[in-house]
Amino acid sequence: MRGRRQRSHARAAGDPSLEEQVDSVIAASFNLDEDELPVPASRETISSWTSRSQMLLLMNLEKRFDVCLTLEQMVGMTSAQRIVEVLRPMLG
Amino acid sequence: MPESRPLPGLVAGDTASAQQLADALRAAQPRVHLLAASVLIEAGALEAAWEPISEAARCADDPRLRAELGDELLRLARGWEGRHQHHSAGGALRLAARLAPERAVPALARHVQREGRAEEALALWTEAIRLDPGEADHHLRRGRLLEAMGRLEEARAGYLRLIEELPTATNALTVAPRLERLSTRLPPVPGAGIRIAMLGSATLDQLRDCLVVQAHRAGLRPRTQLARADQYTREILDPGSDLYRFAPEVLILAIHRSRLFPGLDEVAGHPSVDDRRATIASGVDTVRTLLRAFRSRSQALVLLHGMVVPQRPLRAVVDMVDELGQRDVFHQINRELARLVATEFDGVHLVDEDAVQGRCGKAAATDPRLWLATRMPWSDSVLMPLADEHVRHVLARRDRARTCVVVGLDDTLWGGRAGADGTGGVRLGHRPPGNAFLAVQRQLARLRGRGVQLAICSRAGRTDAVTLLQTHPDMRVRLDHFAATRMDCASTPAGVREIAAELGIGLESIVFWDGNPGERARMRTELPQVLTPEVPADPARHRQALLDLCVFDRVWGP
Repeated sequence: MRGRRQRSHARAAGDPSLEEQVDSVIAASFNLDEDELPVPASRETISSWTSRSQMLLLMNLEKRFDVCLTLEQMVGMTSAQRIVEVLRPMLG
Repeated sequence: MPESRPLPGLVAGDTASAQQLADALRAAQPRVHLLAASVLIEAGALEAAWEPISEAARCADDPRLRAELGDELLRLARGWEGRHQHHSAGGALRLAARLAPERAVPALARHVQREGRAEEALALWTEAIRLDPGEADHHLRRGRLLEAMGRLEEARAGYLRLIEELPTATNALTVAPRLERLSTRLPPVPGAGIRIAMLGSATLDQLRDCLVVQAHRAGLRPRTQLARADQYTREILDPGSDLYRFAPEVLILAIHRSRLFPGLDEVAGHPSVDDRRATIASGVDTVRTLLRAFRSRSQALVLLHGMVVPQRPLRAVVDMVDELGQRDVFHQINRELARLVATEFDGVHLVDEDAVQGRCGKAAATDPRLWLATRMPWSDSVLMPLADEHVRHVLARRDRARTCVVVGLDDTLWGGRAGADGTGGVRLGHRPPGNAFLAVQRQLARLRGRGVQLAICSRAGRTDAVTLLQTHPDMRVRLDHFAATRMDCASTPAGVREIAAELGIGLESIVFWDGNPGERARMRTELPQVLTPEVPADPARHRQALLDLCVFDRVWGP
């Protein structure tokens, strides 16, 4: 892990941002607290982000955001940022 | 100064209308406060928002308004958290938890946990689960907290409770690594440890995770070993392989039909019937060779997956009229594999994967995305039932099957109450809704035919119940079918204890089947060794639930 996460994308008030929701799913999938997520959160920075846990992450993302990912989207989801980039247009 | 005018619609002296208006204005007051708070929160004036929102909370009786206030308080708390004003955030969360507990208690639990008050956070997570037992995140966070507090057995029980509530593959994949980690830290349970190796032609990690979870649910403490995909031949034939170093007690062999029977699964041409028969013989011979090699070095129980019959045969509608069509081919292969393991090997079971996939729905048994991305051959709908099938075989082999069903009477063997309704009044017979109970009785009679003992433990009055059991024309299980009976019971757990003593069996051999949720809850609390499954609220589903209990299987010799 690389240091504790600074919640730079947290808004002063309002609903959780998409970034925060994605962080929450990533943390749950890799058995971490949100505060333990490194910046940036990616396959390279999270040691437990294996192909085995990647599958769980994808299933959790589909469930949480009620979306159906394509194969291409699935294989491209290798970091929190990439996940947000894929999800944002899907969620409108 | 503007001239004062009467309110529209109000006539001087009409005190009733005036009172009505005044009441409406008073009722609108909390909503006005809420609106004011909302505007202030949006503008970032969080301190200023506290007064109107707490004022609104004081007089909010309407459930919808309370929910809206709860949401607004959560926004306020988030704002304060963002500014590191944790004390203020805590106050907002506590107020929110009173108004909208289902949404706010988890947020308060997280806050309290971050503040380092573990015991209080634990109580809040427990409350969050009580309010919403179907939210996996609550169970997982509570489990992690218990782990951090060193309360490992409780953490394990908590993770398993999540699976009882929501037995999905996703939850199993989340929980399995935690159970495995806990197993290394918890003291061993005598007779529960088991080493399971898995070999196959695809990615088995997810199936392994589900197997770990199902094994824990069955009271086992598994250790698993997984070879890389397609390494099964090398692992079995090489005496120095990791497989033999692991010394498994169970070996699961999940090899896809395309590996064992190439040419029958995907064909460019159309092999002759003789060629097909030759391929079948050759594939079965490969399995024989592998099993012989393994058996020469290990006495482990082998769970060999049967072949899945393709849902869409290559020759489509013509397949049915083909002399040895693709469907026929794989049915025949399964029959030959069954004969092989029954006649040539001891301790090799055929796992009927085709039946498991059929129960779950073959059309959705594979997720093409997961297959193409990771060579994972099963979708999440199949993983847990397939792992359950493995555990069934393991328990049967270990002779850990349940051997006795203790049933309640009212709303269990029949609908209604024997005492109040009598023979003519209870629901039991060939017409609905009594046929639902008749179906259950038939299933119980079948279990008895398989050697499972039946017993009665009920609070129902003995005289009425015995009369009913002896005289009702549609009763399928009669009094003399029951090996032991306890009626007029003050306490069903005490009655079940007596039945176990009378029959000379352990409590872990007993299944308690009762349509009354209160009785089930008491049994689970007082006698956790007794398996007390959920009985659906609708009696129409009782028989299927009884049929789905995979705890009565036993292996009787060759």
